[in-house]
Amino acid sequence: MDLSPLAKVPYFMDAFTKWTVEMPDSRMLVDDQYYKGWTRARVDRASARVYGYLKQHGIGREDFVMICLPRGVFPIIAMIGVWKAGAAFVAVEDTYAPERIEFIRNDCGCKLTIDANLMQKIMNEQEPLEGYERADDHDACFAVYTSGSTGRPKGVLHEYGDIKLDAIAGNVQIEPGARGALIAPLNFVVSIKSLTGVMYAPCCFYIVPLSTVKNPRKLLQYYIENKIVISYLSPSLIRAVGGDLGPYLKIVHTGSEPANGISLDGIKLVNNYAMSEGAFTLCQFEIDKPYDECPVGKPNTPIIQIRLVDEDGNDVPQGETGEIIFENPFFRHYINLPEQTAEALRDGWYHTGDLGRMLPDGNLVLVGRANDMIKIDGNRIEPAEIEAAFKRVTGKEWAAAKGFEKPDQSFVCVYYLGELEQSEDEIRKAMEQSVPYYMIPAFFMQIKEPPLLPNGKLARKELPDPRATIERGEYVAPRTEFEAALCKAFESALGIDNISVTEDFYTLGGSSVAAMKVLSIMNLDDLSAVDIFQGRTVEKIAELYAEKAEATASDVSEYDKEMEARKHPHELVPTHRSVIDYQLFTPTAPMWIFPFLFSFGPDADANRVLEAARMVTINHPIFSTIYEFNEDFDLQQRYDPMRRVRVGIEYMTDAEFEAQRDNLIEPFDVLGSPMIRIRIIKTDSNCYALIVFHHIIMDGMSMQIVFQSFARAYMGQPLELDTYYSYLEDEERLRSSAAFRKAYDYYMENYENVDWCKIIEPDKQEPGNVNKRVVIPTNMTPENLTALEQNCDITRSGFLTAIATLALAKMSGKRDVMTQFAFHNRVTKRKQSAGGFLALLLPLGVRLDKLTTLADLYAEVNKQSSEGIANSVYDWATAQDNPYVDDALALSFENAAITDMTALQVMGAKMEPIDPHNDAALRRNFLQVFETADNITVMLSFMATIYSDERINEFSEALTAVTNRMIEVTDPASVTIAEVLA
Amino acid sequence: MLTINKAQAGTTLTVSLAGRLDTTTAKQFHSEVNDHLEGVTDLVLDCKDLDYISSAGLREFLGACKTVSENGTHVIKNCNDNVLGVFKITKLGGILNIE
Repeated sequence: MDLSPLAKVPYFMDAFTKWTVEMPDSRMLVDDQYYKGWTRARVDRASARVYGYLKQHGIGREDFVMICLPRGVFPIIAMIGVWKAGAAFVAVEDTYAPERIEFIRNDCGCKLTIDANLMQKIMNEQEPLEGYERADDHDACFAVYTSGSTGRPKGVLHEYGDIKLDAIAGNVQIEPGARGALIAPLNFVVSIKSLTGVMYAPCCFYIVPLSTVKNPRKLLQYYIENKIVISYLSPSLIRAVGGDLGPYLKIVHTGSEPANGISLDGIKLVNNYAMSEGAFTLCQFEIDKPYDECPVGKPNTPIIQIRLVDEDGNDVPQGETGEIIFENPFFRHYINLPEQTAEALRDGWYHTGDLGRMLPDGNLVLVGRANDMIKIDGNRIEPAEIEAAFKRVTGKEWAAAKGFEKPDQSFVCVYYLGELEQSEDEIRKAMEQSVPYYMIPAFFMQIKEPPLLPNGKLARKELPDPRATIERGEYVAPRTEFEAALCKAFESALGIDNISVTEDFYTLGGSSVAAMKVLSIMNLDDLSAVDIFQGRTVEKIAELYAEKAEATASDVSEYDKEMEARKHPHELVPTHRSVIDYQLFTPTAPMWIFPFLFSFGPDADANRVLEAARMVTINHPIFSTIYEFNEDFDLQQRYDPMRRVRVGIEYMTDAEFEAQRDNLIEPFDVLGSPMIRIRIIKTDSNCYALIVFHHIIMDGMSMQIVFQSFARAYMGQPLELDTYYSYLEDEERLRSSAAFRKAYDYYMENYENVDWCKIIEPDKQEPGNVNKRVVIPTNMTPENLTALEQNCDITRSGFLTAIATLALAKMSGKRDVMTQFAFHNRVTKRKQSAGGFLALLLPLGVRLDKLTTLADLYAEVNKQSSEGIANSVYDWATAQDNPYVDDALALSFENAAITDMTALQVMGAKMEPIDPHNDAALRRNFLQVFETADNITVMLSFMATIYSDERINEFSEALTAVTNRMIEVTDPASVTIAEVLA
Repeated sequence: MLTINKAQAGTTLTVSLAGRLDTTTAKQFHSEVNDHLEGVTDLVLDCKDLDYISSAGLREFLGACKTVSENGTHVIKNCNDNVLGVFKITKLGGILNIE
């Protein structure tokens, strides 16, 4: 092989560096978490950390590193880092069976495994190392594992020269800035080729989530929404997706299985012939029309030579069929398999086992396999590996696997002798522990004896087609529209009539390709290949789908929903409007503003803190949310990324910072600008992050979400989707729902038309709003509260309601008492990931004359707490609330989690004291309990302009008395309310 | 509680407000002021005794001022510091004519 042209091909790392320097801010990688993408500069910096780590640990030339990370940008970062170190990697999917991963790790002799924990450590702690080692063309570069005929996976070791060879052979013309989609698993050769492509050319690759890949409709949507221009699609996927691939796709590369009968209008469709042993494109053919036998074409470069040989290794005459062989001086060997290497690699020529025929125009056509290897959905499968797995699971001494390959239906059947002890489902589940999903047999067939050739070997071709012997059970017709539609989809995908709702999709010959066809026909966003695989029958799939319809949608559809929701303005939820009104009572007071100051120390990298802060402002829509009056003078909130909070580094001396420290907090405009800020301040001796937000847009849980995001961004970890706008949309929809009406009726029935005592009665009226706080002494401790919870069947929060209710009753003499308790409202996954103000104050009105004992009181509190939460869709408490005139006593039991700052401590950050300068009351009365590991503190905040000290003391004494009496009670049924109030 | 006194001289309507213009009194303002602006070319909202205005109150002000401004003028005057503060932090000073 004449390799001299390779000398003109730039070293791929040189090309990557060139583009990083020239276009540092151009996007290089996008995944479903980092949907804004990673720039080249960022990828370079992150991979430099991996390089630094490997170098420190003495890993370099000829050393193997295993990469076991979830699909996304991080495996790519790790790959580039390993290449910078001049070492080699083997990538595995983190979903592989542990046994398989362990085998590969040992087989390669991996010196190190980069998993999620180590990657986090590297991103967090490792300094980047600039530059890279220059590898020799014959240094080990990467290994890929394919199915092995020994029954174990087989490792193919490639050298660095393959990258240059592919740069010439691939002939992939990509324009700068073009967007490509990566749909194959990242450990496949085609993905590694794509990576080198994006290093050579300044384009961007979108790593498509696998759940999207498996759903043709979603994949098409993904292509359109992300304006994908170039992608690889298998022929099966092209058939499943259909002819219209949207307006943006210009180039589709296909291959790995016969591309017969497909073509695409207006899109350049290129058939590729390549394999794991040649990490470069052997042949290409531009498909201009559907072919019954689609050629795979010819090499793009004269460097690559292909021959067709007979069993003796002699070239066959033109037009005749022979085994395809080619040279690859950079395929070193099969790892630890010298015999197999010698069998496959003879005199420098690799024997593919594929049979081909050369057309008169020089294009190659594939005509079959010379050995037993099967391809299912483009995946190579050696029957021996399936047989070995089956035997391990069943204990059988003999088994045979056979593949059946048709354009739209490919599957594997395993044949065995005698009886099976386990069920087929049990066997499949057990096999999943050691082989990938595409090797799981669709059929198991008992045979009397194996068919043999005259030489005594297995006559695999004579093993019968299991579909001929399928016993069709009793027909059960579909009972719902969904079942009927799914039955029709099955029938269409499998080419079988009258499928019963109880028949197994895979037993009928279904495969993952057929499953995709079903999904395409059904055209439902939340029906996935996993549902078909798990359910298997129409009946069971329908059940799973119905269950899922009630559950939270997948992350991918959450993303779609959130992005869609951000496109429209939304009503304010009642609590937002209420907090605005509270603020307007004392407009310039900072009582609703919460500042947090963090110091990172003198050695902190301010740019890193800044970058993390920027990622946070991008990821969380509250940083771009504007409150405003619309044209109808209704208040609305709107996502406006053009108004996103901007962050930069402010440089000042220590003295300047100290001078300003007391006045760092500025008031917010409640309309027209985001109500949250981040400032990064670098002084001579420290680096600070000041985060200030208004309670209108954040509560305690959201604060934790934002702080955790800050820490994750700092450590280079992906940030979770913020679903705030989806939450707003849900709330809007709920307000016109039957549940809303039901909740409204509940409150009207239980709380209206009662003269509630709901506040410490004011005893003066002075102008202004001045806040005061008193600590109320009680005997509560964490220990006796825990005992109370166990003995009295009441939660801590419920107990606070009970003592506040009785304290108010004791003071006022009234027996109908209402308080409001803080409810976090994070009851669904979507709400748990929403960064906004979701918390509610729920009313709890107790009519003490209807109760006798403390047990009755606790039961009533529990009942109303649950009912309040269940009916919280209608915010009755806020509807009643009139700031500082008709607001009820609010209660909040807070434990350490609310103020947990460990998320920021992992960044090396320390919380610094900062005076919020708040001297205005949030409400007329607010009773808070703070619990730490050792202590319980009860604090009453109140509006001092309407309460004398005497009045507050009266309440304090009442609360102390009832609390200390009740905390010691172990049998609440034996103590009357009257005794406590006496 | 909200007290509304109206004085009309020709096409100029002066509305004096005392108390709170909030959720509970916004409807009262609407029915006594906004629903009676036909023929008014100059609206004066005298807020000397207005203690508090909420978002609901702002909505009514915006509605009234817009109605009049189509063919006339409006002015909001004698606001105390708190009410002025409200206009400041809501940035409505740029839309409403505040003296």
